[in-house]
Amino acid sequence: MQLDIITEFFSIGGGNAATSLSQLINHPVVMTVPLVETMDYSELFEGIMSDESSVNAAITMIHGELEGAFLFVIRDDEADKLVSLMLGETQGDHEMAASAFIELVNIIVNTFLNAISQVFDVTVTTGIPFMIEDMFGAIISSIYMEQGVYEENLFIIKNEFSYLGERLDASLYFIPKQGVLDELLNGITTEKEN
Amino acid sequence: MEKELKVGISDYKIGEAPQSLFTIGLGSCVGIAIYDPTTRVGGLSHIMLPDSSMFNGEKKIEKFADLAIPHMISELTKKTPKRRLVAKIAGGSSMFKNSLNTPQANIGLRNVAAVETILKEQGIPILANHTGGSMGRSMFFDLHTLQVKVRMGNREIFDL
Repeated sequence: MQLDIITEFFSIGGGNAATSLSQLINHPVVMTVPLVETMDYSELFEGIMSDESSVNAAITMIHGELEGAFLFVIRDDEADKLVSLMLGETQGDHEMAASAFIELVNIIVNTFLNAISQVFDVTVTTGIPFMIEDMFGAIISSIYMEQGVYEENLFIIKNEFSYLGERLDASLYFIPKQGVLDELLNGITTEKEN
Repeated sequence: MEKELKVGISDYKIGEAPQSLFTIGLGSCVGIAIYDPTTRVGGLSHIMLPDSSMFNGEKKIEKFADLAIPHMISELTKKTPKRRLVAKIAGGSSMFKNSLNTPQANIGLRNVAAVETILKEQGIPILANHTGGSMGRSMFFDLHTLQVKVRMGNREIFDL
């Protein structure tokens, strides 16, 4: 029941994010059913993305009733593809590409949050995304820890996007601050019962 | 005997030449290689947190610097004398350049400090370290050549 609510949250948010992404890159983008699952680090690295993968990631901090961080992750080569779809060829202008990438993530995350805050009546504010290029393993473990999550068992919430039938390998993770989801879900279910 | 042993997050493994040990994606975590250069028996630990006393309930030994390091040492000393053990450490970065204003943001630094204190208490010298900064690291420890290599998030490689 509670997992259903979270899946619902991320279907709505992710669907809207996919629409804004397709407008930005001018190609149809679809989103798969969100993954909402508990797993440990080794299952994550074996089943979802290798800890060694070099990725471009953008992190957006979320405050308010849904505290945590959004992590948009895309493989290095795919990030270039995504930015060139958005800007046309950037001729290797790294700074331009990075700022376009941040803007893109900013739009995706804010579209996502607008959609869910309308449906579920939660108030949130977002920080400005910042970019990091590193190994997936180092990024994801550090971000969970910075949200106060020290368990081996992680609650993974992830939307995956694809375009033109190809896997774009772009994923949007939400890393809730320790304890935040329980509070939020309790709030929503109590409201429904009333 | 497996040639290459992968050490996951919150884990440690013991091996001996010609084996090698490696761990991937150290962010704020710290990797600790402890070995005897003579017998080439050694271990690699990937700790996540400095201090187990901050937590209640059941604790995974391999997760905490204060539990993992003494346990790994006592396993090693079943095979080799403690006085010959030496250490090399890597990791403990602040991946997000303090952009995340959480109390947990300096956990990398606290991990490194805890590891240094515990190794000192155990009387094990740190021969080399590569810690801090804002980039992830992987650590490769060849027990045959006794080389410890650190590969950074940007693929740059350092020999410790």
